[in-house]
Amino acid sequence: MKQNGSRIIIYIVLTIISIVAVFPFIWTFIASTHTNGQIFKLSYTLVPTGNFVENLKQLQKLKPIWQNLLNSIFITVTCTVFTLLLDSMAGYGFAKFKFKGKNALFFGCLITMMIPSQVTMVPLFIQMTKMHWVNTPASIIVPALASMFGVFLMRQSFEQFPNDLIESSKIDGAGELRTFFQIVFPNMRASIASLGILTFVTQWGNYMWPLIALNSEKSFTLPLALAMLIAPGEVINYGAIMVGAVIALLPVLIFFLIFQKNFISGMLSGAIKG
Amino acid sequence: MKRKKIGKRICSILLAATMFSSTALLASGCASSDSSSKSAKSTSSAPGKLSGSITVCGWNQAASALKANAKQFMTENPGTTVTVQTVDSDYTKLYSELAANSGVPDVVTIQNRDVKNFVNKYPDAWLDLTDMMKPEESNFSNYVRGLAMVDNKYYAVPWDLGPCALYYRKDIFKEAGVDPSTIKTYDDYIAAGKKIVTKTGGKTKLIGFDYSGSTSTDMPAVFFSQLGGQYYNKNGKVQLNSDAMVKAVDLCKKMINAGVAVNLPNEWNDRISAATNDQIASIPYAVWYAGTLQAISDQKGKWGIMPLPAFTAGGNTQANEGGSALAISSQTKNAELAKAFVKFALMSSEGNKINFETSKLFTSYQKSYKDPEYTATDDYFGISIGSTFAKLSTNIPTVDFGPHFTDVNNALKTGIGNALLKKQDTKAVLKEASDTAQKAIDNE
Repeated sequence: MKQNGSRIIIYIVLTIISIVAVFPFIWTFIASTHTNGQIFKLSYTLVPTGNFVENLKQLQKLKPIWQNLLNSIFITVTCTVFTLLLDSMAGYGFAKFKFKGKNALFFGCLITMMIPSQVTMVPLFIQMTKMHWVNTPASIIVPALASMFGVFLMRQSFEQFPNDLIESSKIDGAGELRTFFQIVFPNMRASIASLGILTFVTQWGNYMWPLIALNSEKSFTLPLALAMLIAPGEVINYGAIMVGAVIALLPVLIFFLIFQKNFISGMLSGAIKG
Repeated sequence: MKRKKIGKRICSILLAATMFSSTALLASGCASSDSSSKSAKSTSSAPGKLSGSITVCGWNQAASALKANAKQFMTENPGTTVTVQTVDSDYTKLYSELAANSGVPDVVTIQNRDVKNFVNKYPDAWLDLTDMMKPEESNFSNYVRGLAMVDNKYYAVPWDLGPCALYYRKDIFKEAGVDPSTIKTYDDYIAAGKKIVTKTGGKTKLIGFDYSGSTSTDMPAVFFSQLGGQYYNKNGKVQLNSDAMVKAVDLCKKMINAGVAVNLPNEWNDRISAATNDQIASIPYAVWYAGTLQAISDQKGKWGIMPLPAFTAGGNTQANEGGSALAISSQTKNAELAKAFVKFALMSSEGNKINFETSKLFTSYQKSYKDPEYTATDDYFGISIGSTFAKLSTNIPTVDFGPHFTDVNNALKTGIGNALLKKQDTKAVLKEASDTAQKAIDNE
């Protein structure tokens, strides 16, 4: 009985917390179907009305939103794929190879983590201008690839990987690449997935650097396109912004739902290792 | 079993992603080519014939207006290319470009109050536009000319202006038995507010603003502008505890104490919400707020516009809030074209027609106030917005925002919050704000 009672309390608390967490998302979805006037009405109903298509039309008039979506997907996906590949290889190297100056090199790389990105922004921008990369996806993707955070994370988890497995794979005649891709990589799925999710979410919501590096509306990513719909002292089309928010939200939701299990296991694996 | 499945799924996602990305690459590759024409080519052909290309930047609706202007300009001047960039209104992008001394657009939009700040921080980054402004000086009010000038040189051409008036709900005023024409001073205004609050049982207040000052200080700023207040004393030191500022903040305090004000913690959005739900009956605000009211379509015909009440009977009723200007980068390789475009967009009937119709930007160029779109009656308000506000922009008290307005404004926000929300002594908190601002400036 007593257990039942405490369980009920736990469920009530959890329900309240999840409503608080989920409500803004639901509100966004519903608001995207309202007119500007309805969004601000106090007698706000949680029943969607049929203004979604109209809001979408207005959004399309204001911004090349589908192009922006494609840009976001392209930049985020490319960035995630290559970050995973490069960071896991570098992390593996730092964890399992023995070479001269390894610690010094690793320390040197770690130092780059201590520099705030604001400091490197202007020099990086000058570099991009000189390379004529401004306003191209490359200016967003390439500088983000060598993320020391990812290398560090990968090194920490690869250190747990049993050396015996690597050795036996080599004895069986597998080369370095084959050992890495067929033996090590598949077994480190959890930590790779968590780095993947982190990279994806960070890049998907990235605002600051793309704002500086991208110029034309057609090359904008979604966060940029949405942010530009608001300016002080101007008429704001809230319905259109809500539709834009929905468009920006859906891919992340889908991505998260697919990788949910990995995300949680990745979080736990990190927690235990400390 | 499950693990394998996930592995497969990752594989298929990655595969799909790579396929997707290659299509996107094609698409964005095309997209990026249109702005690579940024490097301006200056061809010194016969005078009067313009050629080459420039880049112009602005935010949201300013950018829309610039785009419409660019389109018209290019049809009239074949052989020229004007590319418009949409940028953020916080200047994050512009600051990086200025710091890198590269990639600054030929023509940039700057808020009026920030012009001096930019000239001060990057003195060599801007073209002296005095030759362009001198012959047109009589078409701009003292107010805007003062904002665009540093050491008697013009560094920007004033674009839009924000003359203020009192937007009020005709229906609510009438129901409460308030005759708007009898409101001459702020005391009358507050008395009218009390009537409205009593009549509606407290549902409708007279006015709303952010008591904490953190999301906006627009209301005290309107009153301060009306009083002709200055942010600095004669020695150029910050003085936020001036009589005008104390009066402006105390007026807000008075409204709160009289129970006619409502707190709008997130001022901009909350004000729209309050107006939509009949929670406020009036808004003393600038001309650019008309567009936001017009978006509340079911209140069409219910809003009137009248001059601001005065502080003392017969006193000044004009004030300004906001407005922007265009400046030309000294990096431009085609100054001639940049100047021609600015002249077209800001100092011609044609350009100002586009500004007004595309983005409801109320020009500072007084010649255009006689143009048909400025005198036309507005459907929503039932009067001409253009001529109403034109009459309210003749005598706006001049103000100097100075080269460090960001520091001043940040300190002011805190001061206003302390005075209104924490109900501390106005003079004391404003004195403290002056010191904070001055310290921040001295440390720069």
